[in-house]
Amino acid sequence: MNTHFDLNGSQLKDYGLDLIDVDWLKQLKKETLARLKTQSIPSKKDEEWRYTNIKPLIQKCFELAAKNSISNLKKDKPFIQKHSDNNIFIYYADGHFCFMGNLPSYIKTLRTSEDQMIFQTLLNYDVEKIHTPFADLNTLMLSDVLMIETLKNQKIDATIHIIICSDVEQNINPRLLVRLRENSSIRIFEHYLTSNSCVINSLTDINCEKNSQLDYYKIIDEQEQGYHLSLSNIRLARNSYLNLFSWDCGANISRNNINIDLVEKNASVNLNALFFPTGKLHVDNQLKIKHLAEKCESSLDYRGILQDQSTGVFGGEVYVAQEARDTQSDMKNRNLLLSDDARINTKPVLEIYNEDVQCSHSATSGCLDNDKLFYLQSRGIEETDAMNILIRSFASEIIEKIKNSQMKRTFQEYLVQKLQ
Amino acid sequence: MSINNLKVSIAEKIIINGLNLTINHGEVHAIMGPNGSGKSTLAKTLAGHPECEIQSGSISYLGKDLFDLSVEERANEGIFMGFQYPIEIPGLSNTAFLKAALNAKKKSQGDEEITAVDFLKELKHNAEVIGMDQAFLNRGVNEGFSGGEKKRNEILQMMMLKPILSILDETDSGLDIDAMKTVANGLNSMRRKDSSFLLITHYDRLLGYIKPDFVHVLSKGQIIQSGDSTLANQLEEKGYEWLVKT
Repeated sequence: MNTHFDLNGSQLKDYGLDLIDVDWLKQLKKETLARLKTQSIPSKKDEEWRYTNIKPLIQKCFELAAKNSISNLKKDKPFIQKHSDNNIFIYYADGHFCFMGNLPSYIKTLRTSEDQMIFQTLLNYDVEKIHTPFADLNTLMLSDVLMIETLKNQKIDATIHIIICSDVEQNINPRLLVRLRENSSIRIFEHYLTSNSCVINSLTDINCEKNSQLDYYKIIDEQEQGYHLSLSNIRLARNSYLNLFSWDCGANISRNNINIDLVEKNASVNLNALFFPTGKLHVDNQLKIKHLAEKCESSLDYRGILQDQSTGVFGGEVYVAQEARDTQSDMKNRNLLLSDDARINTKPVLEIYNEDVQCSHSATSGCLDNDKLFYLQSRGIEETDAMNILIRSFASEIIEKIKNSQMKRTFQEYLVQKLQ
Repeated sequence: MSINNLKVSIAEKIIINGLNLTINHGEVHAIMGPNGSGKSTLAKTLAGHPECEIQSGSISYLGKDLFDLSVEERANEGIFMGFQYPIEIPGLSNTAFLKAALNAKKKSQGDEEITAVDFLKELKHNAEVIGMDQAFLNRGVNEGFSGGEKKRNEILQMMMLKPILSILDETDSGLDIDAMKTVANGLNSMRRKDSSFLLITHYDRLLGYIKPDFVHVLSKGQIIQSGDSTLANQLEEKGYEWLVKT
């Protein structure tokens, strides 16, 4: 078996190079292509892919690369909402970011921006830094880039919705760059809503400067036959704060890698997530938090609700460097298995290189608690209703942690809808 | 309710061994007895806990065979069990829980759901009677409650659900004197001609506030002595040994 990307064949030879007519990007893609050829295709033999069979995803990805379908979304965009004071909507469809009206000055796209230099600098830097095959595939196939770049001291109240959607089989490679300048704040809400068997391979790079705050939400609600891959690399400077909430309903394969580097003193991160696959769907969460400076905090709470024959993976790794004194970290993964055939593989790992830390990690999995069920039934609530109440309460605990009231309401309503 | 020659086992061990008891409307019965005598198993059996296996005997309740009714049907027919160790359910607010329970009962009786306004009015009133802080209503069910607060919460549920037969398993344990008084207030406010109580208790402390019509002593799964409220006083003085020996 060939363990390297076979890119000499016809299917990927020219792919992506003609999507956008910019010389520097063509050059970048050529370099990426050369590098990708030398990389190994991940397989179950790799520790980090042990519980997720990546083969069908790669197959589908190559198959679709040759196809180049265009969805109907582009022609008429009835789904596109106008911006309001509190919400800005940006859609990614058929390879580019689109929107109604004008974007605020802190949001730019590669296709529409006159300032190519900044994209060139940041993308070159990104490509240099990230060496995973899927990141390279994203670069190779990208046809647009969205950049959100705040000004120093800029506090943005609106929620920036980024909606990745498609109604035909496509390869979708969204690329997002977020730069939060000193003392600024913003809220971003990514929605992945495809209605066909797409392969999404998204790449996000976030840099939070001193005293900045990012409130970041994510929903992955795709079609059963779809594949979702996402990689987020996040860097947090002094006193900066990241709050991340994600909800993943799963896909044929849904794999989310989040890497967070706490690089300066007092940076903190709060990650809460629900994954809720049904049928035969699969969700794989991979988190790497690196404490590289003193007095940083990280808190992770991932909850899985697994039904039918669905499967889940939690791989959480917290690394504490020698110089990261006075570190606080808490990592939890709790799983509710609602059927005998549902399965979870969980592995929280701590790697600590100094003694001045308060770190904890835990993982649990089990079915609905019989004592709780009996308690509810003894108050007259029917068994199926009682089960639903308990599932809801398990999920609600995470949703209740959302501080922004509008976002909390959004996810509460979403939960009610999902449990119907 | 009439219990006839009841035998119940848990994990293949006989716990209730030939118990007879009749509770009529309006009566307050107290069951006392040493640890391991089967008091809690009796309460659980009446509520329909799945780990209680009925070996023999019968229980009729309002003319029905109790064993034909599911846990939730028993509750909706007016049986309430106050738990010795109330369960914590984080993520479900106390208020939402009470509303779900009340509406389940209404639904089973073919009534319309209670309006939010009426529900909150009644909830606030009852919380005041038993001295429960309003803040507890919005917290997760029993989440982080002290032992006493959990027991108050059981009484609050009982007051909201207005049962016909209330079985209170060690509701007095873990309560200080003031809490005991407020809980007793709640109980006494519910004493009516058509409601009855089965109080399971270790000591006679609670019985100082709620006077039982009958006191029974349970030992090794059987009632070995019955009497009026003075029996409780005797037990307080002499302990259980004098009865168990005979």
